[in-house]
Amino acid sequence: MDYAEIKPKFLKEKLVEKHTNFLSDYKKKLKDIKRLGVLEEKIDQLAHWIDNIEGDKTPDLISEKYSAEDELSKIGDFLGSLSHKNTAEITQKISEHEIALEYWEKK
Amino acid sequence: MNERELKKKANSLRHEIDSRRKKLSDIFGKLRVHQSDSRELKKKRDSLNDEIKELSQKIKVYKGKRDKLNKAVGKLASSRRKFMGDLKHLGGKQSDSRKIRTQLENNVKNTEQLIEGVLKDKFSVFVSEEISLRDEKRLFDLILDLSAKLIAARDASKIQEKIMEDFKDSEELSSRLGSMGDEFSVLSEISDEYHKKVIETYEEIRKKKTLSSESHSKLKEKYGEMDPLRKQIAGIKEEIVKLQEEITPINEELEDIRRKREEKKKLELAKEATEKLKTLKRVSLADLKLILDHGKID
Repeated sequence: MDYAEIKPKFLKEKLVEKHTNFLSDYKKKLKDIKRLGVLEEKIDQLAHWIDNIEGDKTPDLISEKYSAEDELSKIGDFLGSLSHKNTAEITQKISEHEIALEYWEKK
Repeated sequence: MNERELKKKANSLRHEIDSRRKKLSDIFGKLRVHQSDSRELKKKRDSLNDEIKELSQKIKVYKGKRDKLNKAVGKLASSRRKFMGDLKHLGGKQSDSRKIRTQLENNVKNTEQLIEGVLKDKFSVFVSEEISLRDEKRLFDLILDLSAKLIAARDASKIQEKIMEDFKDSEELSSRLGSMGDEFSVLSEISDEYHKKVIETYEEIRKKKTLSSESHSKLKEKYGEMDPLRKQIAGIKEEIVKLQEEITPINEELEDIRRKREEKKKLELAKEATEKLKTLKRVSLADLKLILDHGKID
């Protein structure tokens, strides 16, 4: 690109695009953090059931527990070190990006 | 007139004719001298006129060459003026360009590459990194400012390039002007030489024309001298014709007298021969011829 051709409109569009992407990313992370809690709870529950319930229902529970663990693993990979402890921080980020997005969209 | 008177008259006329013929001979002698002189003068005049013609042709050639050179010199002078105008204009443009360049350089403060590098980094942060809205606002203004400076820097570069081109053109023009000056001098010198030749040849022609005119005047004088001689000749010839017309009947009359006398004498001789033939019974062959032509044989 030719930096001499840069115009305000182009810069605004770039910022709207950047903030939209950040917002999308953070919102997904926030959703995944919430899902993370649900999955951890589900796995605990399934583990408890597997340990305590006898009979032919066990294979289904084990399968469901594996499925939950697999999903948890994928979300863990995506979130990295993030956890429900970071919820407030991510919420703050989302708020900041929304303010910025609104500013650049209106400017 | 009797024979003696006739002879006297004839002799007198013959003498007159001879006298006139002698006079004619003298006049022809003089005329021949004049004619010879005239031929020489005419030859000289015609030769001079031929030389004048040749010189006039030379003048035409010299003038043609001179005029052609003058035309070339004129064209060269016109081109030179144009080049000098261009050079002056270029000089002015360079001065303007330098001022603009200085102004732009003061505004830009950085080189084009440096600005572009900074702009690239700032833009990257601006569009990809998570920074505060405050920083974004600051970068927004900075990027636009740098972008404007980049344009100014590029303009300055273009002007610099133009200045260099103008300098190059200016040098080429100066060099061309120099060679044009040399060419101008050479062409002018050659043209002057031809002009001098034209003047010299005109002078030569003028001298030859004077000589030719002199020869022509002398020739006219000669013709003037010959005319009365020719008139004299014509007059004398007429007189001779008249004298001959006068003498002819006298000569005829004398011839008639002479013939009659001869005839009479032959008759007498023939008579004598006839008598001789009668007496001697024989005559000479001449006498016999006389007898046969004029005599009688009984």
